[in-house]
Amino acid sequence: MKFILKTTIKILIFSVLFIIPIGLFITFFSLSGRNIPIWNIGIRNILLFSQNYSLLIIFISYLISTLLIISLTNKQKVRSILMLHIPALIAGSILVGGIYLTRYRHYPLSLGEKNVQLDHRAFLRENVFNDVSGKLILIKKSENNYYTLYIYDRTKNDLVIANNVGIGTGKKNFISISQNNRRLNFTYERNKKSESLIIPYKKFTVKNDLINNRLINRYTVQIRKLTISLSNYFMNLDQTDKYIFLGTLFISVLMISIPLTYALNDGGWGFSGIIGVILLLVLLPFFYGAVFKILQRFRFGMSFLGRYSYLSSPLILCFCGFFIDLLVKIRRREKKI
Amino acid sequence: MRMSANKTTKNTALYLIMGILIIFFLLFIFYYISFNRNIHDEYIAGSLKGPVIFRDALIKSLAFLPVIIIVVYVISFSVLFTLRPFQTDKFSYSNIAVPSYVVLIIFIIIILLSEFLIIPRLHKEKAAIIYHSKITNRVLLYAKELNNRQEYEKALAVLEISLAIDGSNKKVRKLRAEITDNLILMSPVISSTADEMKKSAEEVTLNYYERGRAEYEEGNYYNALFYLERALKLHKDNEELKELYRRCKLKAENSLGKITKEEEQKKSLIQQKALALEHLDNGEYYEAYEIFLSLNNKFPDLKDINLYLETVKQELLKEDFLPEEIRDVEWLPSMNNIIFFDREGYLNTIERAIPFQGNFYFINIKRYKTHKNETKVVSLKYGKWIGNKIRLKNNEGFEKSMEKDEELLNIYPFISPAYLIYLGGSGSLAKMLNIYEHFSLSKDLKKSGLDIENNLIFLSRKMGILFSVYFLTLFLSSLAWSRRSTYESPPKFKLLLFIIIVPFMAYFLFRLYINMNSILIYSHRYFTRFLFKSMNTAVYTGLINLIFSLIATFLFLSPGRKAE
Repeated sequence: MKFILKTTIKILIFSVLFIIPIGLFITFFSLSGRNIPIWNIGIRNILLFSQNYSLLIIFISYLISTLLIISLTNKQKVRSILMLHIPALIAGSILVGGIYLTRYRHYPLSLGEKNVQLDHRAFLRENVFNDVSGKLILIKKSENNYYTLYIYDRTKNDLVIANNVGIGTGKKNFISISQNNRRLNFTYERNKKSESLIIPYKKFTVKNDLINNRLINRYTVQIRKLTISLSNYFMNLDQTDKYIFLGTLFISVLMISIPLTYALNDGGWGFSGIIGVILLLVLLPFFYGAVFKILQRFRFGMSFLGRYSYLSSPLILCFCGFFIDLLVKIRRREKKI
Repeated sequence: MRMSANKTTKNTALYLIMGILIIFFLLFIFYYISFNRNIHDEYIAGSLKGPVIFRDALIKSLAFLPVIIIVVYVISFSVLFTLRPFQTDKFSYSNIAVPSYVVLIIFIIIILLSEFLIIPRLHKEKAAIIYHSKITNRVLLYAKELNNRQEYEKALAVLEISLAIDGSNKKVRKLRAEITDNLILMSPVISSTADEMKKSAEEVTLNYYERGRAEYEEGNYYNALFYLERALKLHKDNEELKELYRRCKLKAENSLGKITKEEEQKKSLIQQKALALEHLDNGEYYEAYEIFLSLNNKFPDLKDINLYLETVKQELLKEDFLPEEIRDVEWLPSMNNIIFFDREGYLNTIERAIPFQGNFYFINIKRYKTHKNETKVVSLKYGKWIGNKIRLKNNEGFEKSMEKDEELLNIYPFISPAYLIYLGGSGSLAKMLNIYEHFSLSKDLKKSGLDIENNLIFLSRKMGILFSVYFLTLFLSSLAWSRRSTYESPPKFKLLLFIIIVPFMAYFLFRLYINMNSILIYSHRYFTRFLFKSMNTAVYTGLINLIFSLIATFLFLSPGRKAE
């Protein structure tokens, strides 16, 4: 009992501690995916935008915290492998309860609704040439609170200078941002003709080595594939069934990852457990992706579940977890740990 | 007992240093091979390929040095130091902690040097080699063209430019041999040219006084005057010389007096020459040049006028240049499409900039000035860096410009041309600046229009790299030791997984720390809004990083947690 309580508290504390770094990582990752330069949009925008991912942030923090605590647990103190699931489930229930109370009862947070408010300063630094896809763009504030715009085409040695440039449409010369199309529009008069230069956000974004690397890209593609595959599964379900589906899926993740983390944990070598956590986090989306792909291909279903037949896939995954539990238990008995 | 403790200490330092160096070397080899496979021959001339790839691989490997250090420390503290060679009877944690700490500090100093000095230098050298390679490629094309036009001597001179840069280039040497063969077939031409050269060298060796005297004695008073004038400039107080000059002048004037109509011209020549010499003495070189040039055109055989013209030219070249100088190097590759603001508020665009033999030449320059919503533009054909400015001109020869045009004909940039020529490139200049250059130039570069970080942010970023290595190495090593393997040899499968995953973990944690440091830099503006308004970014980020580092140091060095 003491062990369960202690482990639950540890999981909860670490879940809360991880929320900040993981929240920042997910928010930055998402903003980077939308080609929004993260360093120029202001802390308020970042906080508002991170609300869109609050559920995901809490879930990942909880998952990492659970796996990390289990990976570092002293094996001698674990009486039964099944017992390890209990603290994780209790902590999970507390967090879900908390989310339910705050989100669905009182609606203080909204999912996927907050948009980042951008202006030209998010993309362009004033008084210096901003290097954007072969063009050097400089904006300089003039005395009348308008801007002077310089666009230099480096490939053609061609310079455009536009005076009295306003921000937003309505002037002859202007810079405007289209958030829907994710691009910037520079409209200016040249030789008494109006010309426009349209540059998508992504041309302004400086690549971040943490996010824009081959490994992370591959991982992201897999997560995107998995999300599409999952959404195909529960797209037509009503709200309650969606929660049941996601809940079962969540339990299957715990059932698979907890025994594996425990198995990779080596009582005499704590770091092997931490490595196990990293390995699991990397491999889980690929494993889930493969399982869903196979089940989709063979149109697998459990008709005896009646109206709950949509749960067949997560239940199979739960069964996999249960099977791994058994294997670990048997192996543990063989080793007499 | 003492011996075994010393041995553990020595082994620890040795294993860590060797581990880091070996991985660094392997990574360097990997990058070298990888870049070698991907580089195109058209991009870099043959023999310059190696130095470019070497520098690229070294830059990349040095950038990975922090990750290598973290990986080696984590593996050492979780597995290596638990093995028999270290676990002697009198093993104490300090036997491994102290040398590890010292080695870490040494490597942090290496990273410091690499970030502030070595990597920028490598970038600079790489840019120079790439430009040299462009020259070599262009030289080959141009020399072939000259060879086809049978301008062998010029072709050889052009090839010498490339050989001075890269003497081992096979293609250039082969072409030189080919052109030399062609030239041998034209040997009579060479010998006559050589004779001429010899003759002229002999002429030069005679001193002015002797030449003047000889001309005087031969009755060529006019020519004698020239040499004596020059000799007088060197020996103003020589009475004998003064006397000879006086007599020679008298004779020359008398001889001119005797001659009538034809020599009227010569009289005027003497007067004009005197005027030109006066201008020359007063430092009015443009005026002197104009007179000497007109005299030279009228009397092309008068050697003295020709020599005076050369003297004035030499003086003028200190302030001005001749477009033909640029036309001689126009065929060379250039840095293209440069844009920058100058000290006088003009925005300048330069189509081509040619750095060559310590000089900087510019072609097709446009200067824009915006005043009260109106932009004026001036186009100029040629420019050359002279003194502290770019001297511009459209005309041939030397012509004194009007005072009102002086502003338009001189560009005073904020920075020297060695940096200016990179202002068209995409962010390449910032990478080439070492710490000293960054600190001394960043303001001027920013005024020129370059998007470059200010000094404090630059310093904070670099500090982030150093602190990340320090914190992550000590923190992870400490964690690894507290969770170390208690086996003589850890389970093989888990060890394999561990060795595969640790480099990725180290890389991501390192990047994560660097990003966290960027967040700290970003949060500085919010921090100073509410607290310590005068605290600068470097101090702010430095202090926070220092707190993390102190915690990591305490965890690493505190013996209590690591009782064996």
